[in-house]
Amino acid sequence: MRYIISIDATKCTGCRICEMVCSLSHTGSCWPERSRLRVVSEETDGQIDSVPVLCMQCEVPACRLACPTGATYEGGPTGARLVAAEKCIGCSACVWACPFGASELDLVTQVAHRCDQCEGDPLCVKHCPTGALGYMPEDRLAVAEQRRKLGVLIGLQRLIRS
Amino acid sequence: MKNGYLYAGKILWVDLTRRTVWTTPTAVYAERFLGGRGIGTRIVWEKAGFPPVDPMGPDNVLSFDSGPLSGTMMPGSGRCHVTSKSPLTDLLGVASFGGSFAPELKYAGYDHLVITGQAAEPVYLAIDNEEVTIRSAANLWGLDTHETPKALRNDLNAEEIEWACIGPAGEKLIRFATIIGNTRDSAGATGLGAVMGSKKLKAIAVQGTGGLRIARPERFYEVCARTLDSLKVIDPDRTVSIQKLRRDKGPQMTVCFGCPSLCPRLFEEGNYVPGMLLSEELALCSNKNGYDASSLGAMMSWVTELFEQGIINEKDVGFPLTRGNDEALLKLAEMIARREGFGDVLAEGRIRAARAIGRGSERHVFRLDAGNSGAVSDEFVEFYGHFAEGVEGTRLPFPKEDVGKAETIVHAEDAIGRAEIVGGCKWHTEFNGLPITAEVHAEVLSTGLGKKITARELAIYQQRLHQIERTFNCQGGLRREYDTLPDQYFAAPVPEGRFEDIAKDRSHMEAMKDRYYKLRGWDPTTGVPARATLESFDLKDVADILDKRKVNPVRKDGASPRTQ
Repeated sequence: MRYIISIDATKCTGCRICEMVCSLSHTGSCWPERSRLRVVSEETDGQIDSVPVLCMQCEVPACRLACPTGATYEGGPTGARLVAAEKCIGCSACVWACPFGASELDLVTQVAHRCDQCEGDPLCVKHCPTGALGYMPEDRLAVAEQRRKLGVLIGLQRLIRS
Repeated sequence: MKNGYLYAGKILWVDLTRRTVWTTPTAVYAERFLGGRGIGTRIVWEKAGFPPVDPMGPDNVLSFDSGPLSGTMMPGSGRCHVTSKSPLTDLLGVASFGGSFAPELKYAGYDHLVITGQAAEPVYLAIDNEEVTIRSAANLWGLDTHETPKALRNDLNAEEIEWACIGPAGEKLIRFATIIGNTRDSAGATGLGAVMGSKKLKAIAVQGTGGLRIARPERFYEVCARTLDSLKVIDPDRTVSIQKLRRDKGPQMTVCFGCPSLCPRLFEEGNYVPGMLLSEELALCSNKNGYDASSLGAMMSWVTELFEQGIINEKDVGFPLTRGNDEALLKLAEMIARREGFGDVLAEGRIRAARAIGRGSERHVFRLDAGNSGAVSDEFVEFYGHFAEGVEGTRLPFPKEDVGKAETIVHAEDAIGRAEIVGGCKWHTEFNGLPITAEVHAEVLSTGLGKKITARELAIYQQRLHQIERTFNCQGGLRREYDTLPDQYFAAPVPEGRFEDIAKDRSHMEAMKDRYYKLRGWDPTTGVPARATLESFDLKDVADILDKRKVNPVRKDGASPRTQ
């Protein structure tokens, strides 16, 4: 079963704990530029909105299709879109191809990397303080999203009634 | 500290007069002062301590400080401390703001950024890793703090910047101006925005793509993860803040880097305003113009009181002021920001304004901004305010009797000092009832640096901070007699409720001071750090300089440095 890291941008506070745990566990340093997921923020008139960006585990991965050397493959216990470092030539094709900006070239090794879901126990999800990140089998994603939207609706109705 | 772990390794110096930029190794300072406020205070003490400099002159220095844990996974590691000589108090000015500025500075390769000199024309500083440029701020000057970041991004053609800037208040040298950071959080206390304004430095934009090496990543992760788990998300209902006011309107809060706490910070909010009734519009106004919301609130209630008592009238202000008339107060706040009319008088801060107004107006300045570091250096605000009333807004238990109060204050100050030299957040300590003790900080530092640092050693580092800070202030003329509160404070009735048992008279306060000085190792008659104390913390150089400089105990203008 494919697993998905789900994103609820309305809950993201932009604290970047996810970037810290990710870079720490993957590179042994606190280095956001080398994190497998990035928090992107936009500022409008003093209001800041943030959203985590990471691999969406596409059914038809554009990164794999674009890769000229076959370095990108689906593997690991969760079928994540991994990179075989020895085959990667650092051409950035996957970076261009990814519709979400979730593929990156590592600043130090010049090898492409993206979320590997920490082999089934993603640390970013574990440490996200507000639940903006979730981890679930793909067939639960739609149900979870429906429930979330119901929550928004109930909240709205309560607001109108009060 | 030379092994390259946790620290970025360099201090960035910028001389705005000569328009030069250079770096020095952090290790020179880190050996004795660790980092954060510790190093910042030492730098300001060295460069602007003696002879006393004009806080708004070219000789003052402004230091932006990160600590060894800034920019790491340790929660609370997003605070940036700012140290300089304060134009509001003429003492050491210390303030801090949250966000990602300090982490980004470290990713760019610098533990501290020290600004000296004074630019001829408005400038801003652009730091892109090794590339540091002083650029014209002609297009930015006059913009408020909401417009400035947008203009910065346009000018640099870069989205991913972290920034800190001043608003019109800082430009106009308003003595309680703030420095605002990228989450709208401000370094609010002690008027450091005016220092930045006096240097004609509108903003600082930082981009960094580097990282921080960790000596033992797995252990470091474990300790940080444990700490994270121990910090339950702070209940917004328990804190007094505008956040609560805005919660239903704003969909999302922006917090500091690496912090799980939903602390009272939302974009409009300039500062933590304990129990202060500041309207949303006024809070927004102070954040946009870049002055301290807390000082403004105190100013407004004071001015309204003066108006009601007939001490000032429409001729002074230009329009009537009545309690609860937000429109008039907002108008006055804007006048302060532009130094127009009566606003020009108030822009000097409460004590100076009272002196200018005369007519007994100073009798209505009841107290300093206790608990919010609005008035003097952190140490003293906490000292005075907490002495009398306990630690507002926290869960720290305070004794109702005078006995044990000095110990409580020392304990709280030590916890705060410790958090602020390691690059943490003062709210993330036992001072605020959270389980981040000296042992936790020591363990995180040890695993990160790859060498054992004990809680005891940490305590010595932070003692050095307190001693240097006091030395700086004593060099500027602070003595025991200035460690006090206004007469009106003692004359005012004791508020009902939890303060009822508190003894409120001078003799009690003097007794508490005796005890406090003893705990700190300061001379009981003058309040100056004793040589033996300084030497016990390996600060012989400081003791020698104190002796050499025989600073006149009374300031020239006869004014108490404890001004607001």
